[in-house]
Amino acid sequence: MKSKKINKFREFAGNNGMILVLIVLMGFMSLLSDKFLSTSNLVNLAIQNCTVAVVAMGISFVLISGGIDLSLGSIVGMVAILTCGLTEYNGWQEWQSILFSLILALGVGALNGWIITRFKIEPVVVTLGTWYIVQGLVQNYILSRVPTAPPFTSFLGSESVFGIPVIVIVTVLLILAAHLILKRTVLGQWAYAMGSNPAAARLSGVPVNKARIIFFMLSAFYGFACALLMTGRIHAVDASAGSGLVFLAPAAAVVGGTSLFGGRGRALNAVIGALIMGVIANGLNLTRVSFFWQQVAVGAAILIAVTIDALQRRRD
Amino acid sequence: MTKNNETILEMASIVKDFPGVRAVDHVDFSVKRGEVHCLLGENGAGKSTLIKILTGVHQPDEGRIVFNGEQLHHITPRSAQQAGISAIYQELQLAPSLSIAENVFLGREPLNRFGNIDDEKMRRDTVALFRDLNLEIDPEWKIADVSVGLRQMTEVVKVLARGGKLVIMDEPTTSLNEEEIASLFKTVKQIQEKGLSVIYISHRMEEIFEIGDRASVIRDGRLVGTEEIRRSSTAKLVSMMVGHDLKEKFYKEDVPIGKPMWRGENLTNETGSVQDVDFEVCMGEILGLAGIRGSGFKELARLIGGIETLSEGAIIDAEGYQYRFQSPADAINAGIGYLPDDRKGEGLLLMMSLRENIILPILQRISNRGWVRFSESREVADAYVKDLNIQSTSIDRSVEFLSGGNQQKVVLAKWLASKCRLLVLDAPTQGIDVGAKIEMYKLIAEHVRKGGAVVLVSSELPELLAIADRILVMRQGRVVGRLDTDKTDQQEVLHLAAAGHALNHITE
Repeated sequence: MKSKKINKFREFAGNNGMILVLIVLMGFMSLLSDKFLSTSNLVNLAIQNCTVAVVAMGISFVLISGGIDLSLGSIVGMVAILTCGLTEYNGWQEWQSILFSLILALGVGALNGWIITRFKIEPVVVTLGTWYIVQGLVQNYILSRVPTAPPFTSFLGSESVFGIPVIVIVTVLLILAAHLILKRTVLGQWAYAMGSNPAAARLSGVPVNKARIIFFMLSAFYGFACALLMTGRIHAVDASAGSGLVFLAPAAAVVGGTSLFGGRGRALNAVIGALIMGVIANGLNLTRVSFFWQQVAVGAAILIAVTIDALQRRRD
Repeated sequence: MTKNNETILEMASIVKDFPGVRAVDHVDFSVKRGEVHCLLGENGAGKSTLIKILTGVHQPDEGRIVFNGEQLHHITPRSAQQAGISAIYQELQLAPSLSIAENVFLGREPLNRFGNIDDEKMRRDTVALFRDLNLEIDPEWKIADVSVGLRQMTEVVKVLARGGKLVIMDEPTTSLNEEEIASLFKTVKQIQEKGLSVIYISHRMEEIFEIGDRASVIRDGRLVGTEEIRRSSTAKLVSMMVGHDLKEKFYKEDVPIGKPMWRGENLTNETGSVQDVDFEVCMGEILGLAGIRGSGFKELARLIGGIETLSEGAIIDAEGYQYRFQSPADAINAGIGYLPDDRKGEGLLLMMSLRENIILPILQRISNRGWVRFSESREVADAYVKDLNIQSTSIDRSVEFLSGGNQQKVVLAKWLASKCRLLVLDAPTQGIDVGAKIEMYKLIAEHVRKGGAVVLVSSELPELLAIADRILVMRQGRVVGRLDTDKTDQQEVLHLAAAGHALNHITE
């Protein structure tokens, strides 16, 4: 009987533990600063963390299916730089730059998946390689130039429709789509099955290689979307675009409760994770705590999340 | 052979209970100095538990162990090794990227006067130890680059270097070729002459007669008897292993055998663990696959299920279409489902729900353009959970909380739901209790009654004989017998599996 209770608790904590952490964190921040719960600050918080939520969502597909994607940050950087750069310096139409970036992003995702499945190499090594290659190629192109965001991209990142920021609308739609893919489609079932037990998934007829390539392409697509939103919000990009997301993306997904070891995670987790990261940064900014202490807080959040994950995994 | 009557190991009245089963029941077992003592018994008879007690993996519940004149209390793997008891397992415990010399001295490397590892001495001593066994080697060779036979020699030398007194060899010849086996036997005789004792576990009768001094037979956790091998016979040892009290409960229905459903021609795989196998299975039939470990019977099942790929031959359906499955998905599309013997490793998505496990192979069927029809998936799962009487509070509960028997039913439910007409079942009743076994037999019977067919892989002969209609016996990758279960018995199957020829051909 006692063990049943513990199991129930584990299930509950595993699904909702990080929501509780988020609520406690917000309560704590509102005590530290009376500005924290002001409408303008909350709107700000939402806008600021859309890009992290989207990129964390992308990597969640890969994490849930039992992989990791370190190249995602460089894909974000590539899309951001090419969308702005090709339009501003090379005389392309904006839609041409965006389409070209999308194709390249999906190509990198497919390449990741293909190398991993064809040569049976660990995702962490393959995506480490593509991360460097993509980053190097893009930096060669952009050098020290700082292009500005073209109109449609700016609209996505900075305008509002009926008083709601477009960036928030797009993010909600992307998260919703991801939720439906994960929970309602064959592809989503494959992701959980592969992450949970790849051998059993294969034996049950899941085309694991094809599916893995698709998940890396989905991850890259969300990276592409993140790049457009990010560029539109900050209006200009330089060679360092996306570099902060390489570890922030998996960290946010994991802090939201998605397992780093596959088989467990939800779309909502990407949002929760992004918000926890955002609240830590925002709240500590309001109280003028240095960036270095923010890092300590982020690290603590990661440890809490993985401990919950580990407790949930431990079986007798 | 050294004939010395000094007893080096004495295990007296050993008892070991596991939840619900007495694995070892008052077993007396002794080994003399310089003796090769064979330990025989069917899978699950209690041999390995006894060995694990001796090597400190399990603690006995009762009994006394005296080794080399000293009573051993609370054996740990480390203290067993220090006392001079070493085991060589099938999966060798060597570091593949290190050299032979480094492996021999792993963990106890000699130091020179500067406190650094004395490579020179290590190499010299290794060469000397091998030379003692009449083997010339280069101590610099990496384990990864040498043959399985030489790896095994390295294990033996490692034991010698440590000053071991008793070596346990658990089916050491499984992955060796004839030449390597001969060389291993020579080594066994040499270490025997040095006064070491060997406990030798094998299913192959001819090996036991070649190198054994005495043999002890264990059945259902009890010692049946200990025989002087020179004064015994294969027939006698086999009948000791099998026993005659087969009162286990099985369930089988009389189903008429219909038209041929699938057959295989020249089935061969890359590694050669299956060579040139033909088989045929008909509607309503249960075809048994039997063999000892390493005989290829499990690999054959994996080839039929598309888990591994054929290098030659083809699997052919009733219409004559030839298949060479590249993945399990291909086999499933052709109507063949495979239930693996490793339930947790390959059968279940442990963290996921009953529903998600059951619908995994039929996702395409219950979806529209990639969207799973959720309510239909619940209906399917509900129906099979009810049908198979799976005990769970809900189909949304994760399967890790189910008992072994219920977990196995979930895996079977998955394949019944898939509507695959041929089910390849590898050890479907392994590790589940008697009640669940009977239910499993009934479900198998129901499947063939409805026109399906089953390939049943099992290491438990009584089960195969009771459930299957025909049995293919495999040995060293080839079929050595095709038997009607009505016209054969356990002794005949065991003989074929162990010796490769029928009982009446044995000359004593």
